[in-house]
Amino acid sequence: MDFKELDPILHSQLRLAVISLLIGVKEAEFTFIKEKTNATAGNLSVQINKLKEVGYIDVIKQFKDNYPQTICKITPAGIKAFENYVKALQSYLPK
Amino acid sequence: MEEKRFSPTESLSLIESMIKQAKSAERNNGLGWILWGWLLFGTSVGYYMAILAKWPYRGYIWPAFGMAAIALMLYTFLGRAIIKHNAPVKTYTSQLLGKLTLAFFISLMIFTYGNYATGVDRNGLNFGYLLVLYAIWMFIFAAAFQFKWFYWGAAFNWLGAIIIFYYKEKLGAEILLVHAACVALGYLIPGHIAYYQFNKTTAEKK
Repeated sequence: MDFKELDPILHSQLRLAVISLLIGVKEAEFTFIKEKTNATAGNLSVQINKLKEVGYIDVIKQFKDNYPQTICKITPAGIKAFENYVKALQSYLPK
Repeated sequence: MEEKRFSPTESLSLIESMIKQAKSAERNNGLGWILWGWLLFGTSVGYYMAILAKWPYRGYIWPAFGMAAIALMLYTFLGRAIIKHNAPVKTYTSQLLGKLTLAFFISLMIFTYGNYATGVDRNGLNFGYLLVLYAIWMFIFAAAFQFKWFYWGAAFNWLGAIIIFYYKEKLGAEILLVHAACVALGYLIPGHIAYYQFNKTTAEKK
């Protein structure tokens, strides 16, 4: 059987959760992602930075009512990587 | 969520779960329906009472409603443009529905202007056409949020339009009461239910 290689960036629980969440929305605040993934702020921050470094997401840092706000948005490269990841996953599943 | 390697089946489950989580972000707090509903309901009933009382200034009631509707629209859309990223998440659905609401208001204002400019609506039939317009708007929201009460709201508005068209000779000024009843059943009750459910879910999460 021909197994496709899984993208190591996405084949990690928290990073995949973030990308799966962002694929369905236009953009989301850090707090929203943290709430939905049940991750700690520190761990989430590290994983978001990894996704940003490879160009899978855009991260916008700004201020809202004098408080820092981080907004994440999936990029076209991120969408493509997600699609490829799902295709690769299918090769591992029994037909 | 722990950082760990996991099986393809677990990956798929996680993807499915997160997509559901994102979907759950698409909720409507009902506030728009409540504000708009009370505005329409109050104006309809107020105008009907003004007719009964033969109030000399009743001709100003609907223009005042138009001004209030424009103010509400400006507050909603300019507020969104000025206060960036008000919501913790922005979905494509919410973006689309925002544009649909804008299109609805513009159409409504042109429709109302047409009514005044052409003077064709001598027996209040335009309220029937307006109810059809409201029903389309509500039906789309019902489909987007999978909220059954909005379907009922759309149905009540369609029913009200049929009643107005069918009984056009008999109704007279009572068309305003049919309109008000449709707004109460179609906007206010679903709007308050949506508001209650939204606040309940938000409180449970805290």
